[in-house]
Amino acid sequence: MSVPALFDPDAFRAEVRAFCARALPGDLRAKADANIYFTKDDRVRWQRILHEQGWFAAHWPSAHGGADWGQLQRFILIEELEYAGTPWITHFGISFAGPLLCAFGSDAQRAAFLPGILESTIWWCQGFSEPGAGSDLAAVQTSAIRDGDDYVVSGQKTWTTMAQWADMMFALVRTDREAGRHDGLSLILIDLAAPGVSIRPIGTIDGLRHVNEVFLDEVRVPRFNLVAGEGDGWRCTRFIVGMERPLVTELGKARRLYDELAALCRGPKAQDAVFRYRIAELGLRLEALRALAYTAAERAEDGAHADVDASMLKIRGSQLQQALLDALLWGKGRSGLLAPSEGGEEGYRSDAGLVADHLHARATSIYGGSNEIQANIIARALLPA
Amino acid sequence: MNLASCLDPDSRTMLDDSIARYASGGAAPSWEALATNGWLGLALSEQHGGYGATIGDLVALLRIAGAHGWRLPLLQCLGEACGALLALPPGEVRDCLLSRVAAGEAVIGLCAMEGESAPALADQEHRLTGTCRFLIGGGRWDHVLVEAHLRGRPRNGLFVVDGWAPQLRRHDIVAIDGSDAVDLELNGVAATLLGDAGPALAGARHRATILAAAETLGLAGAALDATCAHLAGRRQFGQAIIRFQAIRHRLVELHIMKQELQAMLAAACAAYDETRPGLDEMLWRLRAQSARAALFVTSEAIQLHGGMGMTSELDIGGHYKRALLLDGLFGSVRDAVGVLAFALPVPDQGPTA
Repeated sequence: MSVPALFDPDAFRAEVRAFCARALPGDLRAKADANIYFTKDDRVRWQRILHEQGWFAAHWPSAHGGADWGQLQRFILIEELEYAGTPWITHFGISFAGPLLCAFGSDAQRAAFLPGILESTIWWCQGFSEPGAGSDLAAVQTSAIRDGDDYVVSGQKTWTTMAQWADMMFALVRTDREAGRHDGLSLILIDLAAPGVSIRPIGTIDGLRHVNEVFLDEVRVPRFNLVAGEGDGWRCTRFIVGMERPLVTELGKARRLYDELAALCRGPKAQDAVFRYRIAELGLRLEALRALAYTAAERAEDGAHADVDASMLKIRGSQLQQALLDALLWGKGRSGLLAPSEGGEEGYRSDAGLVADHLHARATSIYGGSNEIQANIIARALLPA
Repeated sequence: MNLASCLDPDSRTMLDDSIARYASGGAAPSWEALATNGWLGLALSEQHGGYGATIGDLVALLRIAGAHGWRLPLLQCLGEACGALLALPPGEVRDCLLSRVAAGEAVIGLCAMEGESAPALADQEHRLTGTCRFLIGGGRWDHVLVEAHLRGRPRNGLFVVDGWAPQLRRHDIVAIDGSDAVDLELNGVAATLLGDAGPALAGARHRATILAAAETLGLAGAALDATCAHLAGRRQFGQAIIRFQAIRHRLVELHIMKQELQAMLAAACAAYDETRPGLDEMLWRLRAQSARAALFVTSEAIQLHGGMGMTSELDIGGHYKRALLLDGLFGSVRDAVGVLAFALPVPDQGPTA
């Protein structure tokens, strides 16, 4: 267990703010201000800028190219990056696959996969959900059968975010049909360029392309790509899911949306007492989320991380984001009625990006374990069975 | 709970333990016992005979008070009155009053929270006339702080009157939660001017908001624990009803609300101790969250107890009534969010048509 370097949270926050103001390229800032969905190129550019700054992988162990940051510092970084509107870090590599390999991978696997993550040359996606295994993740059916030095993987993954941009997928597969629901699962790294992989987009209500179906038809995956051992899939998955939930708090994004809302108080909605009341109420919920998030981050920093904290943040973070985008759309009046658009255009049509964001946010209470699943997790931890 | 404390961890644990021991001792809580234990002066300075501890240490006492349903004027005396006095410049009378609270020699009330009581009127000899309504904890008020308008003075002053003065007439009433309360009629009662009312009342509100949040956390926690225990023991359809997912999800919602309040309270205590900028808004939000959590948790607790929740046999109804009282005295969600809405940006003044 590494000891995180001491840091001054307020000074660091100020440093990230100054950095974002200075380092975010103008064209990306313009997109952020118009709520336009970032392309892969945008994201790669920004991730490399962050890497140059030494912050991209700072939460990794120093032995593997990180800086041993604690949870609190990483949380502040993410919050401030979101608040500044910078392109969302694509967590599948840097926040999930990387730390997973640092924790459970072999030296050879780290040598093979970590550099591509650090340099943003290899993009990752997450192969968890299947048509028959959504909230009930342990129902995964995709099979991986040993054949010489390979596994032959067959099945279907779905809701695979950003698979269209990805080179690799870490996938939860069943290596043993006889073993128990959890014990038969393994985590394997699949090269998406391999024969037998096909990726099909899923059209979503927000008009954005972000989720896909990934079909795996007798895909040969070297045994080398098995993480930890056969049967360790559930342990690896829990590790990744534990990393994921605090990230979906999106406190910084909530603050950004709140500022956008409060700015509407200067416009035609200013005299609308109900609108103002609603914004103030959202400000209250934002403060509650912030307090909850920092209590959890400080607890995690002290090594007392609780699953319950992450689940609470997931529930409240998603609810708040939806409520903020709901109020924003209302506040925009008829420009909130535009069809959603990825591109957006100059001028008044930029609200189309906001509409897409609003619609996209309906997913926040579904992905990463739906809010009902989170409630079950909390109940299991706190209440008698 | 991780609240800032200036006590070392051992003293802090001892303090928490001794308060908890006292509360579960079975005796009716008394002001005298709190004074004997030195708890009334927890968050007052050593100069005033207090412990010199931070507000976070006093919060521990209020949490217990909330959980056990104490009906003592802690929020009024240690919250409002001390908050007002501490916001005033040092002076002989002020310092003496604070010392008397710490020593348990005097219970002091404040009659000037917004809304309910119009300011009294002071004549040139500082004799006050007016009505102060709904002072909770009616049994004993040794001193009462009163906001009053003094002719010729631009700002209202905060005065102190002797609670036993003959020109002060008391009408005893019983509040919704069973607390004794009084309406006070001031008929030319002699008073001492302490300073401007404005900052003092803000100080009163700040301290009372934190302590009321602490009490709310205590009562919400007790209501939630009692509800879980009830649901685990109550069997219907052949099983404990706590196993039903609909019930479990409701309990989770109550739990999160309580956790939010706890996190906000901890942040507010730190901000209060350091008088950080933005404290006023932060405390209005804390007030809103307290009010929301108090009423939601206790009304859900009644519902989840079923018919038993309606009986006077259980504490649940008492917690609900206390939540209603706190709502009325210190501000409801609507009051607090309304203040915050008012503080939002306004349009830049353009030319009028």
